[in-house]
Amino acid sequence: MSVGFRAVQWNRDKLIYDAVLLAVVAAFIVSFIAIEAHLHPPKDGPAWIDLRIRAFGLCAFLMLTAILSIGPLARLSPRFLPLLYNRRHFGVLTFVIAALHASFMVEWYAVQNTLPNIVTELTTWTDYGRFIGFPFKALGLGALLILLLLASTSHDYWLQFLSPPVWKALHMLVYGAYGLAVMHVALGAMQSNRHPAIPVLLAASLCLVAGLHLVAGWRERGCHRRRAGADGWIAVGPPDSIPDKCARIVNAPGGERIAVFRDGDRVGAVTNLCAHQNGPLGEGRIIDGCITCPWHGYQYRLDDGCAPPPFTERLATYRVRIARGIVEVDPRALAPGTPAAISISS
Amino acid sequence: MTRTHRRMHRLVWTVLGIAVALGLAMALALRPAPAAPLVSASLPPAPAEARS
Repeated sequence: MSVGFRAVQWNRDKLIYDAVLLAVVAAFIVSFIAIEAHLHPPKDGPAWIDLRIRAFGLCAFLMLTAILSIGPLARLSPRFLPLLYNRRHFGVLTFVIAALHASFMVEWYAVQNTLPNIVTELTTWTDYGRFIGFPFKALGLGALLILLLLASTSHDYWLQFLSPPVWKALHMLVYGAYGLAVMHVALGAMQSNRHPAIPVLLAASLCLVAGLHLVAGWRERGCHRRRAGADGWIAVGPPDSIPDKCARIVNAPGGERIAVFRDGDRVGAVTNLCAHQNGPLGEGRIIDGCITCPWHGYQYRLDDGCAPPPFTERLATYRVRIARGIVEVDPRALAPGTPAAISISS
Repeated sequence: MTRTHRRMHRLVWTVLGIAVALGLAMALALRPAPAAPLVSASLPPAPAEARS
């Protein structure tokens, strides 16, 4: 039934993703350093370190912006789903680049024998009461610590240990890291360097992230609303309105979203939440007879919401019926793994 | 994402977005002015149309 079924682990797609990611990051850093060194040749050792600090810092900030843009982009167009597939490795690499940026900063002080100055900067408590002059390194350190926490829990072990809802909530801290990073640059580099590129970059990044979230949220807001009938069942639409091997998503009043799939003449409804990372199943397709999550390829049978053996994940299912030629779904969830799909030809 | 996560997600990024935008605008507005260049006193006066 599901020869293509693979749990999320190292595979060819992930290796390609990581190789491309590493190549792009390396190319960016090398190009930045080469161009800057050509335009403004560093005069001494600390100046070279400063150049590395800027290259890695800019790279980490752009990567953080990209990470926050991938989610809404994937909701706006399936073309961006491949970027989502291995976003966790993207996040871990972002932490590594940010950590290197911080280590070069420590090195910059060390080569000038001024290492205690970092401690002084971070522990001059009166500066924390100022806006301009706020110890911006503390903001960067805060962002780095959040990225460390997220990177160290970016493994399926932690996903299972914490459970998907807790893990997902924890990883929303990335927004906090982004906010700290923006203010780290705004109160740091932007104050000492008046090059217009810095505020333009920060504003563009903020507009991009906020704009994409707004557009994705706005588009999603109205499209899944359905009114329940007198008996509580929700009309989905004629069977043909559900694209073959795809789903229509409906909102259960006060409950979770429901993905109503059609596979030829079979119609079935399951929760829209993948058991792996709560990915949007209804945005996936039926592949090899199984509902396939668009995020990481987890698969479930349409009939009963169970993952094919040897896998054990199960989804809550929902009763469906055809009334006056319209597919309707009962928004009261059945126990995970309960057979509930029907044939529309009978 | 669960319904709770969607709500939390909307709240978190909206509040954070506004706070960061405000912080960025303030950081830009309150940026200390650059030191005036010494040669500025010897610059010729701007044309009349530019001053009006």
